[in-house]
Amino acid sequence: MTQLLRLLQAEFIRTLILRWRYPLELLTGLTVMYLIFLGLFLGARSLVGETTGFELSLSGFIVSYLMWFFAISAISRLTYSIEVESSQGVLEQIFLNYPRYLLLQYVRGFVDFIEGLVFIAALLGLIILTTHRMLTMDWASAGPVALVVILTVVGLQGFGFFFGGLALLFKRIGQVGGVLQFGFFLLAYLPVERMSVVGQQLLYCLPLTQGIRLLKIALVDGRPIFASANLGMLAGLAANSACYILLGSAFFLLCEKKAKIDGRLGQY
Amino acid sequence: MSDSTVTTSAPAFELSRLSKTFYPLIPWHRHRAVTAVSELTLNVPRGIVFSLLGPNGAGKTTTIKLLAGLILPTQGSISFFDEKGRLLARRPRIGAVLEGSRNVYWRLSPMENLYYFGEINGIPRSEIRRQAKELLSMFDLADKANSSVQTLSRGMQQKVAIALALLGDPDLLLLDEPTLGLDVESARLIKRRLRHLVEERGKTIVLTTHQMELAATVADRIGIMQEGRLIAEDKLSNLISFFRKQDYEVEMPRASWKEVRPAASALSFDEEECDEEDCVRVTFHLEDTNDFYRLMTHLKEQGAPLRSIRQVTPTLEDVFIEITRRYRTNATDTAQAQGGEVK
Repeated sequence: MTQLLRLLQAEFIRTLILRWRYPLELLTGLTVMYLIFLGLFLGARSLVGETTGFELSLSGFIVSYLMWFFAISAISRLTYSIEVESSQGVLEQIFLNYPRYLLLQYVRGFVDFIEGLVFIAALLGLIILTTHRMLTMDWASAGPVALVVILTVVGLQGFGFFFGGLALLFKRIGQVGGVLQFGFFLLAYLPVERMSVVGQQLLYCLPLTQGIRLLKIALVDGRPIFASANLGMLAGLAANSACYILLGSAFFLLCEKKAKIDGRLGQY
Repeated sequence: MSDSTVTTSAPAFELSRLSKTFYPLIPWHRHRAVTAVSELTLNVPRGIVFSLLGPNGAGKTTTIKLLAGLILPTQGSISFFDEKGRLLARRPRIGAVLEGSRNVYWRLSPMENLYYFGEINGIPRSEIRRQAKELLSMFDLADKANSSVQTLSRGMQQKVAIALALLGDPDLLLLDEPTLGLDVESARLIKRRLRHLVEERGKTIVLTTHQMELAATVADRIGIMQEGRLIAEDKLSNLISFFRKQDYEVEMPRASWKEVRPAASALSFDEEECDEEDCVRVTFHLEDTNDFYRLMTHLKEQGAPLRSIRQVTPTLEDVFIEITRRYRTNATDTAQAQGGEVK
């Protein structure tokens, strides 16, 4: 446990140093995400007009956008860090110093999530300033909302491990990440509730969709997540995320072993 | 070179019939498999510098990575031992610098790299602090401790990587081309530090290099690999003795050599210009010591004024070339005897 805390501290410090030393990267990321949102927001408003419908769906639009950020962050972080670290030879150094690489990636995922929350807070501030729309949330729903966000991100991280494993073997799979970002964008905005039962079931098997649905219940409709009507959905989200993290981790471990058999850790 | 170094006979590690074949990912390309290491058996004692030499693709880097656990073997085993010669159940702490990479975070400073890797390695914080200072000053990096690694010269980056490999006081150090691309001064410093680590701190170092001079200067034992096989392994002095020939180099005035030459034609020799004016350097390749006595008698009878005479000692490079040449010749002969084709 002490070693895990030291690992966590080391990763936090490394992240803080890099963000402090290279602030432009962070600012660029924030600006790009904000500009994308602005483009979507203005585009949607010009299409729909300042109608009541637009006003009603704006909160849902914001929730989907914020969760999309978590999705692309969870999926691209691991593949990007493997690509960069293998090109610098650091990947092999890490395996020498800390052979339980998967555990290190869990820790990094957690650090990335905390960093993402800070980023999201800044992005949300900018979005509120632009749209003059506040997301409704009382203190009582803060806990359930946090739980849903965490469960969704765990599932996304698990999904990211599939691509992390492939990155260990093939290194340059950044283009796949780009396609996935687009795919998750569609997923975040799909009106799943209006689809057929089969379509709904299929889409709810993917990461992100169930989390967004529950968050909209709390943040857009203002209804409690822990209400008996929603508990089944919450259990479904938990099971879905558990499946993704377990299967993703198992696949990642298989790829790690294959990379060691094929001597691919140091290749880039 | 340090033949005089006293080494313990306790093994640091043992490779037993270690083989590594790399298969392509695509199953129907399995015929393109490459055997990088083949049936490698080796016992390296503690407290020495063991240098692995070999042409490109000989299997040196694969051997280093197999030792480090970064590649899994196809066959065979690797055993590590403690200072009392007891078999270890797990791989001990290993420090490594791997080929062509600096193996450190370029955006962090040397000090931050040492702290980060020390933390994830579970080294006590007070030890990280103490060792980081010591290692940075050992490699003359104290004044660059807080500069980003990417702003340092290649030599400095290499020194950071070696300092990092030494963090946590590992018993075994694996260095793949540690002085590649370094200037003379940096390479010399690293050589001194490596000898210090072995002689004063009892570390075991496995070093691969193409620089014969580096191996000859720091290694206690030399292993020569070719096509994944260990084709020679011994102390440098033994390898040199084995390949020492009755070659003598004589320098004399050109006029004297003209007089001596016809009578010396029965012997095998090469001649070349000396650095000095009007001087010839003749290298006699003799069969045995009797030939040497005959040569001396002959020179004395001719009254040839000699400027210098010395027995030619083969360098590690000569030994390396001879061993690899013999291996290639044997491989060709064997293949031809079997009616096969030599690749």
